[in-house]
Amino acid sequence: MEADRGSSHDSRRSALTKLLLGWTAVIVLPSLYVIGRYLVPPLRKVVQASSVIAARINEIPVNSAKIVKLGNKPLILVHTETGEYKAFSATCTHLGCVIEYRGDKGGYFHCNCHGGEYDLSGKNISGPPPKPLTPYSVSIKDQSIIVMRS
Amino acid sequence: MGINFRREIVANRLIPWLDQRTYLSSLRYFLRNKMIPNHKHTIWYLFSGLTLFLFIVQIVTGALLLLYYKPTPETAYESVKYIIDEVPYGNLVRSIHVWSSHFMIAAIAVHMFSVYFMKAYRKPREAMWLTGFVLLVLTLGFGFTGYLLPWDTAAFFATQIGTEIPRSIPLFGETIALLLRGGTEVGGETLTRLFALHVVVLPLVALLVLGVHLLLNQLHGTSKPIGVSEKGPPIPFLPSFI
Repeated sequence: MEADRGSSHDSRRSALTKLLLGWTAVIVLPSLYVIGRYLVPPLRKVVQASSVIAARINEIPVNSAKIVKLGNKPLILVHTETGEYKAFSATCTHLGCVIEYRGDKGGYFHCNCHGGEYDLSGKNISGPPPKPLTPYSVSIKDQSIIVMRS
Repeated sequence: MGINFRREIVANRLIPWLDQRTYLSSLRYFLRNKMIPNHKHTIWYLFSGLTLFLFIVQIVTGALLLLYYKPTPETAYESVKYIIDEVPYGNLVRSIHVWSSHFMIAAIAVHMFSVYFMKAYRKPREAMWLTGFVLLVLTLGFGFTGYLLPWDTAAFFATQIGTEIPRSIPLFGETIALLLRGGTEVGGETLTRLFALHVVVLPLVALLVLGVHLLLNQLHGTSKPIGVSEKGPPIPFLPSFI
Protein backbone atom coordinates (compact mmCIF):
# COMPACT_ATOMS: atom_id res chain seq x y z
CA MET A 1 0.00 0.00 0.00
CA GLU A 2 2.73 2.38 1.00
CA ALA A 3 4.83 1.37 -2.01
CA ASP A 4 1.82 1.91 -4.32
CA ARG A 5 1.28 5.38 -3.02
CA GLY A 6 4.96 6.08 -3.51
CA SER A 7 4.99 4.99 -7.12
CA SER A 8 1.79 6.89 -8.01
CA HIS A 9 3.35 9.91 -6.34
CA ASP A 10 6.47 9.43 -8.47
CA SER A 11 4.52 8.99 -11.67
CA ARG A 12 2.46 12.07 -10.84
CA ARG A 13 5.66 13.98 -10.27
CA SER A 14 7.19 12.80 -13.53
CA ALA A 15 3.98 13.68 -15.36
CA LEU A 16 4.15 17.17 -13.90
CA THR A 17 7.80 17.44 -14.88
CA LYS A 18 6.92 16.40 -18.44
CA LEU A 19 4.09 18.89 -18.52
CA LEU A 20 6.41 21.61 -17.34
CA LEU A 21 9.03 20.65 -19.93
CA GLY A 22 6.32 20.58 -22.58
CA TRP A 23 5.15 24.03 -21.60
CA THR A 24 8.71 25.30 -21.67
CA ALA A 25 9.16 23.86 -25.14
CA VAL A 26 5.87 25.38 -26.29
CA ILE A 27 6.83 28.81 -24.98
CA VAL A 28 10.62 28.93 -25.22
CA LEU A 29 11.16 27.41 -28.65
CA PRO A 30 8.72 29.71 -30.50
CA SER A 31 10.18 32.67 -28.59
CA LEU A 32 13.68 31.72 -29.71
CA TYR A 33 12.43 31.32 -33.28
CA VAL A 34 10.80 34.75 -33.22
CA ILE A 35 13.94 36.36 -31.76
CA GLY A 36 16.12 34.61 -34.34
CA ARG A 37 13.94 35.77 -37.23
CA TYR A 38 13.74 39.28 -35.78
CA LEU A 39 17.53 39.54 -35.73
CA VAL A 40 17.87 38.79 -39.45
CA PRO A 41 17.05 42.03 -41.22
CA PRO A 42 14.58 42.00 -44.12
CA LEU A 43 16.61 42.50 -47.27
CA ARG A 44 15.65 45.60 -49.18
CA LYS A 45 15.44 45.10 -52.89
CA VAL A 46 18.89 45.97 -54.16
CA VAL A 47 18.66 48.52 -56.92
CA GLN A 48 20.12 46.61 -59.83
CA ALA A 49 20.81 49.59 -61.99
CA SER A 50 22.95 48.58 -64.93
CA SER A 51 23.95 52.07 -65.99
CA VAL A 52 24.14 55.60 -64.67
CA ILE A 53 24.74 59.07 -66.09
CA ALA A 54 27.94 59.65 -64.17
CA ALA A 55 28.86 63.16 -65.32
CA ARG A 56 28.49 65.81 -68.01
CA ILE A 57 31.29 66.21 -70.47
CA ASN A 58 33.85 68.85 -69.29
CA GLU A 59 32.68 68.27 -65.70
CA ILE A 60 35.74 66.27 -64.67
CA PRO A 61 39.07 68.05 -65.29
CA VAL A 62 41.91 66.07 -66.86
CA ASN A 63 43.82 63.89 -64.36
CA SER A 64 41.03 63.80 -61.78
CA ALA A 65 38.07 61.62 -60.90
CA LYS A 66 34.53 61.57 -59.60
CA ILE A 67 32.77 59.03 -57.40
CA VAL A 68 29.18 58.20 -58.35
CA LYS A 69 26.72 55.58 -57.13
CA LEU A 70 25.66 52.81 -59.45
CA GLY A 71 22.72 51.22 -57.68
CA ASN A 72 23.96 51.36 -54.11
CA LYS A 73 27.66 50.72 -54.85
CA PRO A 74 30.15 53.48 -55.57
CA LEU A 75 32.02 53.67 -58.85
CA ILE A 76 34.93 55.88 -59.78
CA LEU A 77 35.06 57.68 -63.14
CA VAL A 78 38.52 58.94 -64.13
CA HIS A 79 39.49 61.47 -66.76
CA THR A 80 43.04 60.32 -67.44
CA GLU A 81 45.99 62.48 -68.42
CA THR A 82 45.69 61.13 -71.97
CA GLY A 83 42.08 62.37 -72.14
CA GLU A 84 40.39 58.98 -71.86
CA TYR A 85 37.48 58.18 -69.55
CA LYS A 86 37.73 55.01 -67.48
CA ALA A 87 35.36 53.63 -64.85
CA PHE A 88 35.80 51.01 -62.14
CA SER A 89 33.99 49.83 -59.07
CA ALA A 90 35.25 52.13 -56.27
CA THR A 91 35.02 49.39 -53.65
CA CYS A 92 38.47 48.17 -52.62
CA THR A 93 38.71 44.42 -53.11
CA HIS A 94 40.55 44.06 -49.80
CA LEU A 95 37.98 45.01 -47.14
CA GLY A 96 35.46 47.19 -48.91
CA CYS A 97 36.62 50.76 -48.27
CA VAL A 98 36.08 53.37 -50.99
CA ILE A 99 39.19 54.06 -53.07
CA GLU A 100 40.32 57.45 -54.39
CA TYR A 101 42.19 58.64 -57.48
CA ARG A 102 45.66 60.13 -57.18
CA GLY A 103 47.01 62.17 -60.06
CA ASP A 104 50.75 61.86 -59.41
CA LYS A 105 53.01 59.12 -60.91
CA GLY A 106 50.84 58.94 -64.03
CA GLY A 107 47.65 58.33 -62.05
CA TYR A 108 46.61 55.42 -59.84
CA PHE A 109 43.94 54.43 -57.33
CA HIS A 110 44.69 54.44 -53.62
CA CYS A 111 42.74 53.00 -50.70
CA ASN A 112 43.13 54.99 -47.48
CA CYS A 113 42.27 52.12 -45.18
CA HIS A 114 45.31 49.88 -45.68
CA GLY A 115 47.22 51.54 -48.50
CA GLY A 116 46.14 49.26 -51.33
CA GLU A 117 46.91 50.55 -54.82
CA TYR A 118 45.61 49.84 -58.33
CA ASP A 119 46.90 51.05 -61.66
CA LEU A 120 44.77 52.74 -64.33
CA SER A 121 43.70 49.41 -65.75
CA GLY A 122 42.30 48.49 -62.31
CA LYS A 123 45.04 45.96 -61.64
CA ASN A 124 46.08 45.59 -57.99
CA ILE A 125 49.73 46.69 -57.89
CA SER A 126 50.55 47.29 -54.24
CA GLY A 127 49.31 46.55 -50.74
CA PRO A 128 46.80 43.97 -49.57
CA PRO A 129 44.10 43.92 -52.31
CA PRO A 130 43.74 40.34 -53.61
CA LYS A 131 41.91 41.12 -56.85
CA PRO A 132 41.75 43.88 -59.50
CA LEU A 133 38.90 46.41 -59.50
CA THR A 134 35.85 45.48 -61.54
CA PRO A 135 35.98 47.55 -64.77
CA TYR A 136 32.85 49.26 -66.16
CA SER A 137 32.33 50.42 -69.71
CA VAL A 138 32.05 54.12 -70.50
CA SER A 139 30.16 55.70 -73.36
CA ILE A 140 29.44 59.30 -74.27
CA LYS A 141 26.03 60.30 -75.51
CA ASP A 142 24.61 63.83 -75.89
CA GLN A 143 27.24 65.50 -73.68
CA SER A 144 26.66 62.89 -70.94
CA ILE A 145 29.12 60.29 -69.75
CA ILE A 146 27.30 57.03 -69.19
CA VAL A 147 28.84 54.21 -67.16
CA MET A 148 27.54 50.67 -67.64
CA ARG A 149 28.21 47.32 -66.07
CA SER A 150 30.33 45.46 -68.59
CA MET B 1 18.71 65.11 21.07
CA GLY B 2 22.35 65.64 20.09
CA ILE B 3 24.67 63.78 17.77
CA ASN B 4 25.20 61.05 20.38
CA PHE B 5 21.50 60.29 20.50
CA ARG B 6 21.34 59.97 16.72
CA ARG B 7 24.45 57.82 16.69
CA GLU B 8 22.89 55.59 19.30
CA ILE B 9 19.75 55.16 17.23
CA VAL B 10 21.85 54.15 14.23
CA ALA B 11 24.01 51.75 16.25
CA ASN B 12 21.30 50.15 18.40
CA ARG B 13 18.26 50.26 16.18
CA LEU B 14 18.95 50.81 12.48
CA ILE B 15 21.98 48.53 12.07
CA PRO B 16 20.45 45.57 13.96
CA TRP B 17 17.19 46.08 12.04
CA LEU B 18 19.04 45.98 8.70
CA ASP B 19 21.26 43.12 9.80
CA GLN B 20 18.40 40.84 10.84
CA ARG B 21 16.86 41.32 7.42
CA THR B 22 19.89 41.41 5.11
CA TYR B 23 22.83 39.65 6.88
CA LEU B 24 24.95 42.71 6.13
CA SER B 25 27.25 42.20 9.11
CA SER B 26 28.47 38.89 7.68
CA LEU B 27 29.51 40.79 4.56
CA ARG B 28 31.28 43.32 6.76
CA TYR B 29 32.97 40.51 8.65
CA PHE B 30 33.98 38.88 5.35
CA LEU B 31 35.48 42.05 3.91
CA ARG B 32 37.32 42.84 7.13
CA ASN B 33 38.95 39.41 7.04
CA LYS B 34 39.73 39.36 3.34
CA MET B 35 43.51 39.03 3.10
CA ILE B 36 45.89 39.54 0.21
CA PRO B 37 49.14 37.52 0.15
CA ASN B 38 52.20 39.69 0.76
CA HIS B 39 55.15 38.88 -1.53
CA LYS B 40 57.37 40.54 -4.12
CA HIS B 41 54.70 40.27 -6.86
CA THR B 42 51.83 41.66 -4.78
CA ILE B 43 51.73 44.86 -6.83
CA TRP B 44 50.38 42.96 -9.84
CA TYR B 45 47.17 42.16 -7.95
CA LEU B 46 46.26 45.84 -8.22
CA PHE B 47 45.53 45.58 -11.95
CA SER B 48 42.39 43.50 -11.37
CA GLY B 49 40.98 46.26 -9.18
CA LEU B 50 42.15 48.89 -11.66
CA THR B 51 40.20 47.12 -14.42
CA LEU B 52 37.10 47.06 -12.23
CA PHE B 53 37.55 50.74 -11.43
CA LEU B 54 37.85 51.63 -15.14
CA PHE B 55 34.73 49.54 -15.87
CA ILE B 56 32.82 51.62 -13.31
CA VAL B 57 34.19 54.80 -14.92
CA GLN B 58 32.89 53.52 -18.26
CA ILE B 59 29.42 52.91 -16.84
CA VAL B 60 29.20 56.37 -15.25
CA THR B 61 30.58 58.32 -18.24
CA GLY B 62 28.62 56.11 -20.66
CA ALA B 63 25.37 56.86 -18.85
CA LEU B 64 26.20 60.57 -19.01
CA LEU B 65 26.93 60.41 -22.76
CA LEU B 66 23.60 58.64 -23.31
CA LEU B 67 21.77 61.78 -22.19
CA TYR B 68 22.88 63.67 -25.32
CA TYR B 69 23.90 61.03 -27.86
CA LYS B 70 21.38 60.32 -30.64
CA PRO B 71 21.95 57.03 -32.50
CA THR B 72 20.67 57.74 -36.03
CA PRO B 73 22.79 58.34 -39.14
CA GLU B 74 21.43 61.90 -39.42
CA THR B 75 22.03 62.90 -35.80
CA ALA B 76 24.87 60.75 -34.43
CA TYR B 77 27.80 62.84 -35.66
CA GLU B 78 26.05 66.12 -34.82
CA SER B 79 25.16 64.95 -31.32
CA VAL B 80 28.77 63.88 -30.62
CA LYS B 81 29.92 67.29 -31.90
CA TYR B 82 27.33 68.92 -29.67
CA ILE B 83 28.62 66.94 -26.66
CA ILE B 84 32.19 68.02 -27.43
CA ASP B 85 31.54 71.67 -28.32
CA GLU B 86 28.53 72.80 -26.32
CA VAL B 87 27.63 70.57 -23.40
CA PRO B 88 29.40 71.80 -20.21
CA TYR B 89 32.32 69.42 -19.59
CA GLY B 90 30.99 67.31 -22.47
CA ASN B 91 34.43 67.08 -24.04
CA LEU B 92 35.85 66.00 -20.67
CA VAL B 93 33.23 63.29 -20.14
CA ARG B 94 33.64 61.95 -23.67
CA SER B 95 37.44 62.03 -23.46
CA ILE B 96 37.37 60.15 -20.15
CA HIS B 97 35.08 57.53 -21.75
CA VAL B 98 37.42 57.11 -24.74
CA TRP B 99 40.70 57.12 -22.80
CA SER B 100 39.38 54.96 -20.00
CA SER B 101 38.33 52.40 -22.62
CA HIS B 102 41.89 52.32 -23.97
CA PHE B 103 43.36 52.05 -20.46
CA MET B 104 40.87 49.33 -19.61
CA ILE B 105 42.16 47.14 -22.43
CA ALA B 106 45.73 47.79 -21.23
CA ALA B 107 44.79 47.04 -17.60
CA ILE B 108 43.11 43.81 -18.69
CA ALA B 109 46.23 42.81 -20.63
CA VAL B 110 48.44 43.38 -17.57
CA HIS B 111 45.94 41.60 -15.29
CA MET B 112 45.71 38.64 -17.64
CA PHE B 113 49.50 38.32 -18.07
CA SER B 114 50.05 38.61 -14.31
CA VAL B 115 47.52 35.81 -13.73
CA TYR B 116 49.23 33.79 -16.44
CA PHE B 117 52.78 34.24 -15.18
CA MET B 118 51.86 33.75 -11.51
CA LYS B 119 49.93 30.62 -12.57
CA ALA B 120 46.89 31.84 -10.66
CA TYR B 121 44.64 29.88 -13.05
CA ARG B 122 45.62 26.58 -11.36
CA LYS B 123 43.01 24.31 -9.82
CA PRO B 124 40.51 25.28 -8.40
CA ARG B 125 40.54 28.66 -10.17
CA GLU B 126 40.05 27.54 -13.80
CA ALA B 127 36.51 28.96 -13.89
CA MET B 128 37.92 32.37 -12.97
CA TRP B 129 40.31 32.20 -15.92
CA LEU B 130 37.46 31.20 -18.24
CA THR B 131 35.07 33.93 -17.06
CA GLY B 132 38.01 36.34 -17.32
CA PHE B 133 38.51 35.31 -20.94
CA VAL B 134 34.81 35.87 -21.65
CA LEU B 135 35.13 39.33 -20.06
CA LEU B 136 38.11 40.08 -22.33
CA VAL B 137 36.06 39.18 -25.41
CA LEU B 138 33.14 41.28 -24.12
CA THR B 139 35.47 44.24 -23.55
CA LEU B 140 36.81 43.97 -27.10
CA GLY B 141 33.15 43.85 -28.20
CA PHE B 142 32.55 47.10 -26.31
CA GLY B 143 35.49 48.63 -28.16
CA PHE B 144 34.29 47.48 -31.59
CA THR B 145 30.66 48.54 -31.10
CA GLY B 146 31.62 51.84 -29.46
CA TYR B 147 34.00 52.79 -32.25
CA LEU B 148 31.18 53.22 -34.79
CA LEU B 149 29.01 55.45 -32.64
CA PRO B 150 30.64 58.85 -33.48
CA TRP B 151 29.69 58.07 -37.12
CA ASP B 152 32.65 59.87 -38.66
CA THR B 153 34.74 58.67 -41.59
CA ALA B 154 37.20 56.66 -39.49
CA ALA B 155 34.33 55.03 -37.58
CA PHE B 156 32.47 54.21 -40.78
CA PHE B 157 35.40 52.56 -42.53
CA ALA B 158 36.60 50.80 -39.38
CA THR B 159 33.18 49.20 -39.12
CA GLN B 160 33.16 48.49 -42.84
CA ILE B 161 36.41 46.59 -42.34
CA GLY B 162 35.34 44.97 -39.07
CA THR B 163 32.15 43.61 -40.58
CA GLU B 164 33.91 42.57 -43.81
CA ILE B 165 36.38 40.32 -41.96
CA PRO B 166 33.77 37.81 -40.69
CA ARG B 167 32.58 37.37 -44.30
CA SER B 168 35.67 35.25 -44.97
CA ILE B 169 34.49 32.63 -42.43
CA PRO B 170 33.26 29.58 -44.36
CA LEU B 171 29.50 28.85 -44.35
CA PHE B 172 28.43 31.31 -41.63
CA GLY B 173 30.47 34.36 -42.72
CA GLU B 174 27.76 36.05 -44.76
CA THR B 175 25.15 35.47 -42.03
CA ILE B 176 27.40 36.92 -39.33
CA ALA B 177 28.13 39.99 -41.47
CA LEU B 178 24.40 40.39 -42.17
CA LEU B 179 23.53 40.10 -38.48
CA LEU B 180 26.21 42.64 -37.51
CA ARG B 181 25.32 45.11 -40.24
CA GLY B 182 21.55 44.74 -40.11
CA GLY B 183 21.63 44.83 -43.90
CA THR B 184 23.95 44.18 -46.80
CA GLU B 185 25.84 47.46 -46.29
CA VAL B 186 27.09 49.41 -43.26
CA GLY B 187 24.33 51.97 -42.66
CA GLY B 188 21.73 53.29 -40.25
CA GLU B 189 20.69 49.77 -39.25
CA THR B 190 24.30 48.96 -38.34
CA LEU B 191 24.45 52.05 -36.15
CA THR B 192 21.30 51.20 -34.16
CA ARG B 193 22.36 47.57 -33.87
CA LEU B 194 25.84 48.28 -32.57
CA PHE B 195 24.40 50.99 -30.31
CA ALA B 196 21.96 48.50 -28.75
CA LEU B 197 24.79 46.01 -28.28
CA HIS B 198 27.05 48.69 -26.78
CA VAL B 199 24.61 50.13 -24.23
CA VAL B 200 22.24 47.26 -23.39
CA VAL B 201 23.27 43.76 -24.40
CA LEU B 202 27.01 43.85 -23.67
CA PRO B 203 26.68 45.70 -20.32
CA LEU B 204 24.05 43.23 -19.05
CA VAL B 205 26.10 40.20 -20.07
CA ALA B 206 29.32 41.79 -18.80
CA LEU B 207 27.78 42.59 -15.39
CA LEU B 208 26.53 39.03 -15.07
CA VAL B 209 29.85 37.42 -16.00
CA LEU B 210 31.72 39.97 -13.89
CA GLY B 211 29.50 39.05 -10.94
CA VAL B 212 30.44 35.38 -11.32
CA HIS B 213 34.13 36.30 -11.79
CA LEU B 214 34.17 38.38 -8.57
CA LEU B 215 32.09 35.85 -6.61
CA LEU B 216 34.54 33.08 -7.53
CA ASN B 217 37.37 35.35 -6.43
CA GLN B 218 35.72 35.75 -3.00
CA LEU B 219 35.10 32.00 -2.71
CA HIS B 220 38.66 30.97 -3.59
CA GLY B 221 40.56 33.93 -2.19
CA THR B 222 43.62 35.44 -3.86
CA SER B 223 46.05 32.94 -5.33
CA LYS B 224 49.64 32.90 -4.09
CA PRO B 225 52.27 31.89 -6.63
CA ILE B 226 54.19 28.66 -5.96
CA GLY B 227 57.70 29.04 -4.56
CA VAL B 228 57.49 32.73 -3.72
CA SER B 229 58.32 33.46 -0.10
CA GLU B 230 56.04 35.82 1.78
CA LYS B 231 57.53 39.18 2.70
CA GLY B 232 55.35 39.53 5.76
CA PRO B 233 51.88 38.85 7.13
CA PRO B 234 49.01 39.04 4.59
CA ILE B 235 47.75 42.54 3.84
CA PRO B 236 44.12 43.25 4.78
CA PHE B 237 42.08 44.03 1.65
CA LEU B 238 40.37 46.86 3.55
CA PRO B 239 41.65 49.52 3.51
CA SER B 240 44.98 48.76 1.78
CA PHE B 241 43.54 47.78 -1.63
CA ILE B 242 40.91 50.45 -2.06
